[in-house]
Amino acid sequence: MRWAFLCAFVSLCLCAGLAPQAQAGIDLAYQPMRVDLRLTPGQTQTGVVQLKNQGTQAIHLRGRMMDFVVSDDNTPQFVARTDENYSCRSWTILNPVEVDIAPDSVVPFRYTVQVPATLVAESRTFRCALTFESMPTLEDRIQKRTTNQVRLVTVLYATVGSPAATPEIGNPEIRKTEDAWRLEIPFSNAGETHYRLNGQVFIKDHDNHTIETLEMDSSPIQPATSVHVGFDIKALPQGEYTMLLQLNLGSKILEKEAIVEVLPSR
Amino acid sequence: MKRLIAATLLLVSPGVLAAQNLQRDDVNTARISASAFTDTGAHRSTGGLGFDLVQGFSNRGVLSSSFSLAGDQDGLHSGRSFAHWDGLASAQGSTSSTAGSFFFQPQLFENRAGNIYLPAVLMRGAESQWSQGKTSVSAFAGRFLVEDGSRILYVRGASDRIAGVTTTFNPEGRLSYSVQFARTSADSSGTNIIRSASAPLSSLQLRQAVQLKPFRWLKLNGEYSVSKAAGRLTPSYDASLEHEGERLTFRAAYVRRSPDYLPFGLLSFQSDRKGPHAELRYRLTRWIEVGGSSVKLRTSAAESNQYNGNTSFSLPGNFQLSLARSESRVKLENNAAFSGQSMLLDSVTLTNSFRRWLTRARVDDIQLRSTATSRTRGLEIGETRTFQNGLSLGGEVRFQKSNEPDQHGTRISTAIHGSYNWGSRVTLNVQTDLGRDIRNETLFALSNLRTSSASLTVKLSRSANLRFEYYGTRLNYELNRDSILASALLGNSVEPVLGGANRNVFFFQYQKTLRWGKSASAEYDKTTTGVAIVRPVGTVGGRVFVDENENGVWDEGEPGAANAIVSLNQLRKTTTDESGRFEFTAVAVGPNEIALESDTLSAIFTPTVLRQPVAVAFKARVQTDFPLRAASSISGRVTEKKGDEIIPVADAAIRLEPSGLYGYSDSSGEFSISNVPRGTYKLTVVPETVDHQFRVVSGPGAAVDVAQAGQQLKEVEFLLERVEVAPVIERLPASRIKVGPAATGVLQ
Repeated sequence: MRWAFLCAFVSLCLCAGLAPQAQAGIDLAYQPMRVDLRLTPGQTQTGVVQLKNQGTQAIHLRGRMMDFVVSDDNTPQFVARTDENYSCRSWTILNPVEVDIAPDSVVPFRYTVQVPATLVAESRTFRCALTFESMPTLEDRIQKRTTNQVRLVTVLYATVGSPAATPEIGNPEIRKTEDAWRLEIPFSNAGETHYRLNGQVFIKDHDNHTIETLEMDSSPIQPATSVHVGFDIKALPQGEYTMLLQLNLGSKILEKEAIVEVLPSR
Repeated sequence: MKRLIAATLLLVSPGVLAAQNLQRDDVNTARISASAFTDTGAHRSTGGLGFDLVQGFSNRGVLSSSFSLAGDQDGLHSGRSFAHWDGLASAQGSTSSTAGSFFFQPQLFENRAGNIYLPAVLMRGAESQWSQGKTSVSAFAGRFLVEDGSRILYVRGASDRIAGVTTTFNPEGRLSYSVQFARTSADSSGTNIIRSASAPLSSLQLRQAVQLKPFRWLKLNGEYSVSKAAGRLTPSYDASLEHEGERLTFRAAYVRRSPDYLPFGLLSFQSDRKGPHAELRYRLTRWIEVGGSSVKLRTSAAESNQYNGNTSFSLPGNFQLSLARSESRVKLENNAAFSGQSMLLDSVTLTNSFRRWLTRARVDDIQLRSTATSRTRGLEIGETRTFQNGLSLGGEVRFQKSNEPDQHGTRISTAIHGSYNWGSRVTLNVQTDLGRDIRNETLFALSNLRTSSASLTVKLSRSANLRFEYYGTRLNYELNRDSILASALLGNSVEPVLGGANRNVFFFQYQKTLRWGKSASAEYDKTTTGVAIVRPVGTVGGRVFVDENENGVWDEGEPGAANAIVSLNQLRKTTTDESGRFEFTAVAVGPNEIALESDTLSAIFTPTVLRQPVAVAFKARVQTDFPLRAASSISGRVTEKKGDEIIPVADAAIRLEPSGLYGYSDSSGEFSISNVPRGTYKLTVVPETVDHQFRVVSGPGAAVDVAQAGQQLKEVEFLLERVEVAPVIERLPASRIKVGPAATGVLQ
């Protein structure tokens, strides 16, 4: 769920200005949130991200091509540049880059991906992000009118060849604080394309009754990454439990089982 | 009268269009329309209701039907009515059938030999097509209604009957063969039928046609027909060779038609002729292009020779010089009163394009020899300015000196073409030519037909539209009467298709579309194959090109954009070829809209116009181009000197004057301004967008020059330095502190 939120990345950052005007709301709609392209070396592909200003105020949009990475806790991060070996940022151009958008109007941002003729790998999924950040128009800025700021992200996957994912599931751990229990499962991917966390985690008691079912959020595990994915779980009384993870990879289901022993509190 | 109204209603309601250009989205819809139609030329006002139904049948096909009712001063009439079944194409083949009053095109191929064609005709009857593998069979029977093809339809009466079968083998292949057998009978009492020769009361026609495409760039057509009428057998044949390439285009043809060839009423003037036809265009170098054509046609009553030659020179500075000569000779046989005439036209034209301005200057010399001899010399100067959104304003002035007093004088004409959209709800298209039309020159006419059209579409809701259309037609013939006669005899139809009088036509329509079921089901994708219904059409072509000199028009050497998708009325789509060219054939006459789908263009280009209104005339080719701007950009970084450190300045606005374009620096100080037109600019950091005062230590200088389209100016660096403003000291009035023996200090 968090990934879905972050992928849309509608992070509202209130400008903390002291201007007397009332803050104007921003209502932006856009699509698509994700683009999956299958390309060949040397191929050029163009697409469009459409943004609609549904608010009542003109805004300025600042578009940028960025890399995205995931942190250890599987949170997406959008940065200017990172590992070029997995990035399609430098192949992709955006037009327009910056533009004013009037209320109730739609601006198409066209992007063109031009895959280099030679690549670091014959088969790999490369990724990058088209980020759009709302800014006040120059006139609003000069007049010191304040606006909310919104950032939208379209994630772009460019798959060349037929790469495969190599999912791996490490040993889960349970972290306990005074008021929360958290199950953390390490996932890694030694393959050349991402796979998605589709499936469920079952926690069963010693009678094999399922006492809790956790849904995975379909977030992608990128190639050459290892992350810890956490789930909040109910507190477990003393006893022995079984944790069963079923990762649905489409063509197969990967299962991982762990025995959880809850010791008596001291 | 009833027929006239019925045929008019074919276009009052959009039913014909919906059925002809059936799309996936039209399946499972009902369209109800209420229309009002006033024609000042025909002194007629009509109100009508139309109903169109398109029902999809899963795994079988699509049934479309259309019906309308109209009322005028003569009472209530039923309008166009037809039902059309389009079976889903499958490996076993496809079928389609139509019955009612609909447009039908009975020819084998679009035969361009000698500019002879067989237009679509309105038929009341039935037609059915079957195709299986590489064979298709079409059977048809009905009675033709005589019509003048145009957006404003004119039906003048019933004409011949026809029944026949056409079989085509391998229609899409390199070698295609068709055979047609038809029986015709002419309506000799039809007073409204154009006949330059008497048509046989009945005839049998056997036609065979072969089309061979040995290479992608070469096409050979051949047709051989035998007509049997009044007990005699007469052959007709033609052959043509066509090549279309980047540097060389040519077409050569020979045609011979017997008097009995397909005597379908209004088309009978197409018969009884023979002669060769050739035309050629060749680009010698990047700078020189030559072209020419020659037509020699002979009928039993007249003989015509036409020659054209022209040479164009592309000069530096976007100048183009064209020299042209054309000569026409017409000779009538067995007519002592009028033995012949000739027309000789020489012209020199200089054009220049600068930015969005197109200038044309031309001098010409026209010598006309018929019963009298006249010589006219003229100077024409024209200027056109194109704007974004496809709007163009143009004006021409012509000074003319002639030995015929009524040809002497000055003529001025102006033109406005373009469209505007207000939001996504209201669209206005305007195509108007004002003043005297001096551009539509023909060999036999110095002035011709002048039309204006405007349409306004208001989208009331997702399913309802309101549409207003206006057509104005003005005929300002000042032709030599002998020229008209001679030309008409040779089949060069000088008579305008829109009728023979000044007309103003107003058309209002409210249309509501109801939808149900799975209209977007992919199974209906192939239902448009084999649709037999046709109607008067023209062609729209053009090119999507990189407008390197940003003048809005295509100039020699400017590259095309390949694989861009262009749509017609958002219904039909085509892809541009390697040189950026596209073409839609069989486009319904009247106002249409051509749109460029920008998401199929590389982001390195920016289209200057995405929609172009076009007014298509019957059998005419309209050229409409989409200029692209190679997206120039200016990018760089804004940093600030802070002691020994250089730190990025975020969210500073960098403005490009005088364009008004601007961009903001990001957290790393980088900025980018895209789609910068050619020109010289001043680039500044807007002080109000930096939260402290600063001075520019180093910057891009007084002027930034974007000299070429597509130029990427990178690493434009601004280095700022904070200006520490000395605080202003405001001194308050001095006070005195008194310290008494028992007092502490008191501030007064």
